[in-house]
Parts: sequence; C-alpha cells; structure tokens
Amino acid sequence: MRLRRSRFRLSIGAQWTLRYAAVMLVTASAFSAYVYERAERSTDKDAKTLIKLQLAQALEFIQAHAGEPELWPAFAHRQVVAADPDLRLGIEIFDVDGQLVVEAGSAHGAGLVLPPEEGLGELREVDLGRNYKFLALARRGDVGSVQILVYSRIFARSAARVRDAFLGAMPVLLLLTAGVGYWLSRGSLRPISAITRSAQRISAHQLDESIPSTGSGDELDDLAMTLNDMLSRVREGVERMKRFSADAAHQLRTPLTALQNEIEVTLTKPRSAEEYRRTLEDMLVQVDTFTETVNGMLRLAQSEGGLDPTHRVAIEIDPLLEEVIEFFVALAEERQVDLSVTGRAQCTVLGDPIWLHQLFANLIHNALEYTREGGKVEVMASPTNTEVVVSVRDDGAGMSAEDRAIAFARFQRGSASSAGTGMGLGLALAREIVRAHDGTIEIDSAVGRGSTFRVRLPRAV
Amino acid sequence: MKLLYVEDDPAAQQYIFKGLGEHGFLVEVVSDGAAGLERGTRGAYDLIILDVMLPDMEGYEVLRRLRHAGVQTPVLFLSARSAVGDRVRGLELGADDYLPKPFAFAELLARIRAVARRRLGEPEEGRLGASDLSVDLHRRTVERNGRRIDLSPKQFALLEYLLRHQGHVVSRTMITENVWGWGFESFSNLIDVHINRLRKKVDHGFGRRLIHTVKGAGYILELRDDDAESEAAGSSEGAVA
Repeated sequence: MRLRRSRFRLSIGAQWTLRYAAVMLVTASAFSAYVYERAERSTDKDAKTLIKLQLAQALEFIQAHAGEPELWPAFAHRQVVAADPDLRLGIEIFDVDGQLVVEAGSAHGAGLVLPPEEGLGELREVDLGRNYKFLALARRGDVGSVQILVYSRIFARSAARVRDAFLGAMPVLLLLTAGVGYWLSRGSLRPISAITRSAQRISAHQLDESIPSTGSGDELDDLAMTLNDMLSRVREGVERMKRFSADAAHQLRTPLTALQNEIEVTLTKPRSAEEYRRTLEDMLVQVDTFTETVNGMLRLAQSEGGLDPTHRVAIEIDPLLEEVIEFFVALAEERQVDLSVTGRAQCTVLGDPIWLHQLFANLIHNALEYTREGGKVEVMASPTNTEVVVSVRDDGAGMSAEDRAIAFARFQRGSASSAGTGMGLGLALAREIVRAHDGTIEIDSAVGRGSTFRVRLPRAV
Repeated sequence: MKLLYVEDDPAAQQYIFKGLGEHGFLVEVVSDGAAGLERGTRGAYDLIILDVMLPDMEGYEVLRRLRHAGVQTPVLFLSARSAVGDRVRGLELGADDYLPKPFAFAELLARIRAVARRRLGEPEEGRLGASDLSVDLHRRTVERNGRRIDLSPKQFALLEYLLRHQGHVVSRTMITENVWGWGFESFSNLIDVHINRLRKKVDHGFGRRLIHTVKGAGYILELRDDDAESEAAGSSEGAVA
C-alpha cells in the first residue's frame, strides 16, 4: 500500500534550498543598504567640510583683494585645480550687485542661490537627476558674494557601482546559495530516502528487512535505530502470533480428531441411553482438556506480550512466596513430599502480582510433579544488592542436558512427570513471566541429582 | 427467578435458554445491546447476563448505560476475552461477576445463584454457622459441637466462603478466584486437595458431614439428613444442583 501524497508538495530538499536563497537575499540586501547608507553619509560629510573651507578661503581672498577683482578668477581656478579631483568643485563669485564675475570649475547651470541678506545661507542640495546632485553654500560679504558648489561625483559613482554590483551579482549569488542549500540538504537527507525505500520493502510477510544505519550517531541514525527496534518488536509480535496459531492447530488437531471419531462411531448404530451417557461424559472430559489447553496458550500469549506497566506495583517477595507455598502445602502433604521454604528475600520487586503468583506456582507445581513420594522440595529466597534470587529445588530424577535444553519449550513434558497433569506450558509461561519482569531463569540439574530452578528478579529501588 | 440474556450467538442463545429453563429460570433472550438496554431499563429482572462482544455495542457499554439510567439489577458478564484487564474493567463498571468462555454450564449456574444471593446482603453480624458448626468472623475462631478447630488463614477463608454460600454449589474456579486470587486460576483442579484437608479438620470425627462434592460442578456446604459420615465412600455425589 502506498501512502497518499498531496499533489503540490515540495521535497524537504527543495524547501531548504528556497530557504537558503531567501536568507541569502535578505542578508545581502541588508548589507548593501547599510554600505550604501554609510557611503552616502561619509561622502556628504567630506563635501560639507570642503564647502565650508573653500567658502571661508574664497571670502578671505576677495576681502583681502577687494580692490583687485582681476585677481579673483585666477584664484578661483587655482582652488578648483588644487581641490580633490573626486569632489568636483565649482566656485562662483558675485559683485555687490549680485552680478556673476567669476565662474570656475564645473558649476555651470547651478544658478545663483545666494542668501537674500548678508551672512551665511543655507546648505542646499540641487537635484540634477540620475542620482547626481550639487551641494551648494553661499555667503554674502561686503565686497562680493561667494557660492561654492560641490558636484559630488565620487558619491554618485560609488552608489551606482554598489547598486550595479549588487544587482549584477544577485542572480549568481542566489544560484550559488541555492546550490549550496541543495547540496547540504541532499547530503543530510539522503539517509531519509534510504529509510523510505527500505520501509517500502517491508511488509507483514517480509519483516527481515532493516533500516540501514549510518553509524554516525546523529538524529537520523537515532531514527533509523528506533525504527529498527520497533521493527524487531513487530517481528517478535508476528512471530508470537504465528507460533500461537501453529501451536493451537497442532495441539488441538489430534484430540479434535479423536472427538470427531468418537461421535461418528457412536452415531453409526442405535445405542442404549447408558452408552450415550458414557460417551457424552467421555467427550466432556476431552472438551475440558481442550479448554485447559486453550486457556494455557492464551495465558502464555498474554504474558509474551510483556507486562502492562499499569499493573506494575511494588510487591514484597516473602509474603508472596508464603502464599504460594501455602497453596501447595496441601498437595505436597498428599504426595508425602516435604515442601519447605528457607531464607528470606526481605525486599520488593516491581511487577504484576497475578503473574508473579503464577510464576512461583508454576515452578513449585513443576517441582512437586517431578518429585517422588518421600522426596523434598525446597524454596530458597535471598537478596543481593540488585536482585532477589528465588530457587526452587527438588530431589527428583533430575534432567539430562537434552532435557534442560528443551525444558522451557512449549508443550514439552519430561518423561519423569508423575501425575501427568498440565499441557507442558507451565515452564514456558514461567520463563515468559520472568522475561516480562526483566529477570532471568536458569536450571541447575543433572540426572539423579534433582533440579534447581533459579529465578533472579531486579529489586525495586 | 427472571433473567435477561443478551447474546448474539444463536447456538449459545439456544443452549443457555434451554439449560437455564430446565433449572427453573425464566429467561428472556435478546440479540443486541440496544434491545438489551431497552428491556433491561424497562423490565424487572433478577439478573442480566451480558455477552461482552455484541454486534452493535460492547457489553461494557450496555452496563455503563444501564447503571447511568439507575438500573441496579445484578449483571454477569460472559466473554471470550479472558485477560485479567478485561475482567477488572467489567467489575469496575459495576458488574457482579465475569465468566470467561469457554465455561462449564454448572459453573454458570453456580455463579448466577451466587450473584443473586450476594444481593441479599450479609445474613448475620460477624457470625456464620451451619448445624453445630459456628464461625466467629471477628475473632476468626471456628467451633464445632463446642470443640475449637484450628485452621490456617486460607482454610478459614475457604470455610467462610463455603459457609457464605451454604446450600449452594460453588465451583472450583469460584473458590480459586475468591479465596486465592487470579494468580492461581490455572490450578483450580488442586482445590480438591484443599477441600480434603479442610474436611479432615471440620468434618472428620463429627458424625455428620457438611462439605459435599457435587460431581462436575464443585462443592456444597449443607447438612443432609441421610448423610452420615462415611470415610470409605469419600464423596457422596449429589446430582447437579
């Protein structure tokens, strides 16, 4: 099954690329604006300083040479030539009547902007269009007036240059950042594509596939490992289901056949009421066995699903063991087996009380099943720093290495079983319960030496 | 006794109806939760038997709505779900008992009667007794014919349970659940051993036996006129009650 995807989707790579480009655009624009602003300010400042200086020098000159106006043009031209060539300077000198008498530098067409009265005029800006401008300042003196104009060439040119450079470089810059963004995102997103491809190959029937992990320890590697953990849990779950179905089929087929045949045979000819009754009673016993088997399998399946964390409570081991032993003392007495408990755990474990009862009941019941009359079953409890150890020891026939290897397998019943009750699910269930409680279970046994089942459960802290 | 049985499986409907009818119960059967709710709210029943998995709504939901509507009729759940969580949920919602499928018919009978009895409340203040047997629940002492009997706590609990249901059959699983708890349910066949030990203390040497085996159903505590103590017979089988 494929996921439905929205029609207008942008891959994460494309989204990142666009974001990179946008961030680049904004940063470059802001930087340019800042540079532009700073350039303009400093240029204006230079121009104003120059104007004031030239104005003062020119006025001083014409005052000093009031009677020699023929010297004025040479002075003006000298000043223009000497000035910073980047700041094109213009000097205009007027006589007392306001007639232009000297015009030097590139001040053509600026027009007279003399102040109306004696003294310093205002600094004016004369817009010449196309980002060029004059800065003009004039002053009336006793013998004439001077107007200084600065044609701010460097400012205009650099501003245009900055702008042109910026605009010209922008497409290249954008392409470059987009490319870098694409490259970066592709690199870091490649594992995700790999995860997607493996996930598409995984199905309920094909769960062996695992997500490739880069081993880099980054977030995507974490994701891959988390998904793999999840997959292995799903795999276990599916395995359990398959095993349960297979077990159910195997365990119920034979008795079902027997039941079916018994019914068929009974129906082949008329029989007495007493015969029917006996057959039905017989069948009832068989059905009871079915029920017991099914219930045992269900219990096992439930315990394999792990422990419901909401059922986890702190449980004192000693009273729990006493309760279980109390339950089996009656059976032990009947079988003339000495059932005793030694040592005390004196600690608690975190777990489900129902399952823990079941665990120790299964172990003690198992021990009683394999112990001869006059034998002995001993339950021992002791704490360590981190664990509680509960051993159930019998002095029965003991187990060979082969017996031990399959002791926890389902539907296994040792040859030495005395009463023959149960379906051989007890130890399998015990192991699942121990697992669900994060503990371990082991068998210490040899033929003729009895068996000890040792359970270790982590102590509650 | 009038029962409402809510169950969608026709086979189960038929045999439960037949079986309960033969035991003197008046049974009305409906096939879905809505009908169960409607009948249960209007009619006067002594007990409602609810299947958990119904076609239109879960039995739990039927119970919740019944209780919400103020119907306090005892409810017994039947369910193919046997997980402890399912039972706990049913009981927490106010059901009186929860019987997982498959079950023995005798088990169902015993539980129906127990649920109906429970509604009658405590018979006496702190004392239970039958014939010459008397149990003090506060001091936790047992006497028979003036003679003190020492019992272990679980034996006391077992005797108390039998006494509370005296005259009625209690099944092995009922005893296991109520005296030992759910962790022992797979060992209910071992209840016989416990009953035998209790018999040795309570019945042995007192002339008349009080604890009887009911074949295929469980145990009953009652005084029977024709039943003198007989060690050889071991158990005198009464018919399924």
